[in-house]
Amino acid sequence: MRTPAGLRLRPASASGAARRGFFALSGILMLALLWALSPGAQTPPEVKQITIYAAQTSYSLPVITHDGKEYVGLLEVLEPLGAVSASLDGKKWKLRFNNLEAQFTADKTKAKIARGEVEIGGPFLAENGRGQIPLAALPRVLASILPNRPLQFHAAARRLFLDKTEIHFAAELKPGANSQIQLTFSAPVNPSIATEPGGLRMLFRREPVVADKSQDKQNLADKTISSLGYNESNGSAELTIHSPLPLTAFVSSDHKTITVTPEVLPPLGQAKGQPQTFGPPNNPKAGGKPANTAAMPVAREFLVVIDAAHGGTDRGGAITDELAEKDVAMAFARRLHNELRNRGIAVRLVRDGDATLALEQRAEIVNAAVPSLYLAIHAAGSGTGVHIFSSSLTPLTKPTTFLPWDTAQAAFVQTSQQVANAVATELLKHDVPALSLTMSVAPLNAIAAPALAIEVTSPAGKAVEDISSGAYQQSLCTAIATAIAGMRNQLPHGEVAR
Amino acid sequence: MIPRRLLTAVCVLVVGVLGLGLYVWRIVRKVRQPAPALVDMRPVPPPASGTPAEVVLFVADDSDGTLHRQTASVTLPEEPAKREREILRALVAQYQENASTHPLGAGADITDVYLVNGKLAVVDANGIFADGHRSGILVEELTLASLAQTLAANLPGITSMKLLVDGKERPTLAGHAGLNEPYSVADANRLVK
Repeated sequence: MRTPAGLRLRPASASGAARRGFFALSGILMLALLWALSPGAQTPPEVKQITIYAAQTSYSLPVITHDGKEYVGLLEVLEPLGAVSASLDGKKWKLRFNNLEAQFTADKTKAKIARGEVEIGGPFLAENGRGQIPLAALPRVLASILPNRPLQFHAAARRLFLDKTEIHFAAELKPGANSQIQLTFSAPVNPSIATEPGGLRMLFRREPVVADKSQDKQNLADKTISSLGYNESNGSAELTIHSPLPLTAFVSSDHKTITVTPEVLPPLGQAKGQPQTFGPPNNPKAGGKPANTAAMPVAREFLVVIDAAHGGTDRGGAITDELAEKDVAMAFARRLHNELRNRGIAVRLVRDGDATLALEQRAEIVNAAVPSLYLAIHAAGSGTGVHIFSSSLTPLTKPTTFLPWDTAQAAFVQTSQQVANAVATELLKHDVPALSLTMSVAPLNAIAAPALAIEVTSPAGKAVEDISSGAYQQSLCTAIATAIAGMRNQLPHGEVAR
Repeated sequence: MIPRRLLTAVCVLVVGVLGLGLYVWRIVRKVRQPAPALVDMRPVPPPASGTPAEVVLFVADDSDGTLHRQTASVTLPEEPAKREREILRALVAQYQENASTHPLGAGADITDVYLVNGKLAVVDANGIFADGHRSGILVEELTLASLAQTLAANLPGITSMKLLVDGKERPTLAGHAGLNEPYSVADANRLVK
């Protein structure tokens, strides 16, 4: 039968079962489409990674699976730890780390390291010149390559601790009408903190936080804060505090203590046992800052570009015989990167490895990114504290469409100096000696955005090696990030700068 | 029984191996000896002849990143360029004292100063001056600023200074302070306390 419009209609006698089947199929397809469009379905599968915590830096690396075994790139593991190079000669992958030589052979399960032989528990992979070893063998291999450095490996969580960097914590419940729990860490920490119905989670991606067996799950028998849990997986650690009430966390200025309380607090001074270093949310002058700023969404329009100076064949200055400026600058840049991101600031690194970049290349990369702020990170073996440099160019008095390459910074000199002074002031608040100076440090003059060069030196009264101390670098990064976050509204955002 | 010819050959080979081993051992030992410190082996130049005069030195202080004005009595020759060289040598000598606020390595020296158009001073330092210099933005800038400001204070009209090392251009002093462009006295003046 045909309708006037020419559509063929199913005869009225078509079976009801076929029609029901058609609707059921349509429903299933609709549900599948809805699921596919839902945010949960679009979340990419978690990438497997290992995190390595060393005295000078913490870093995460991807883990690949091959024939059911987990593998990690050995060159990538060693790069932040010293001078390393590798070459592939046929099936032989030769590695040189500082003065030590090692040789791995593709598809072989044994490797020659120094004068010994190490079983790596699976075939060695040499793909595209990159050497991959089974993850389970990493502690054995590292123990041979770094014989004098203590090492702990949490295999299930893929967390590797070098140089006894573990940060331990103690939890103290302060019961009351509005109970609070105080977590005291053995070194500064800066977790990502997320509040959610039923509790609060702190995620430690870069901090080597570990728990004793007894701290895995603690039932606190309190109406406000019912339990504290510790879990570590995929290269990070997580602390979870369960509560029927919404919770807020306060981080102390030295980042060693985090106090978690219900969101509604009595006025300062009325709550017994409340730590003096923390203030309630409505009293910012009390010295604390709500840590839930760490969970703020990243504002893409405000971009900070961090440039770890030197790199590759340019080692920079020699801080000590073993410590090169390029490595200290890179470690510091990564810490500052994390510290800014935790404050909801979008950050990009000019180099995130041992790349050789000319000063002109750096300026080109930075100007193309149109940042709100550019920070060049240097390190020096002489002096104490931090030196902050802004350009000494004469400020541009009239706005102009085109900026000369060599003096592009002239249009931003005044803002740069304001940021430099803010950073110096914040560092001084943290008892760090800081000098703010105007000097023409390359490539600042060619940067078309507010720009600073930050030279990190060793802590006052300490040995020059202490420049790479994680706690020291963390305290500097905290102060610098705080100053930048405070200047955020006075700096150009991406759209304005464009 | 082992033939005598074979025995002789083995003995010769053993002696050869031992001899080569000894030679290699001596070479390795020599290589492993610490490299001698940067020392200027050239003969010490005779003291400048002339009349003692009071000169102004701008001495760098690493602790606060500033230049401090000081006066010193220096024997100065008649020729202007040589006078400036002696003034800078007096400054460098101050940095080589034990309690210096801005230490420079032993052997660092200013070999020549040339004046161009009465505005630009070209300063030639020896290799040890740059090779033994500490690396860092502040310490390198302070060295340049101190030289430029001292020159300008004693020879009015100097507006910039170009530093050469062993008579040649060099990109940076010790990895940071650029030497390709002349250093402006105005920049140095900002650091004067």
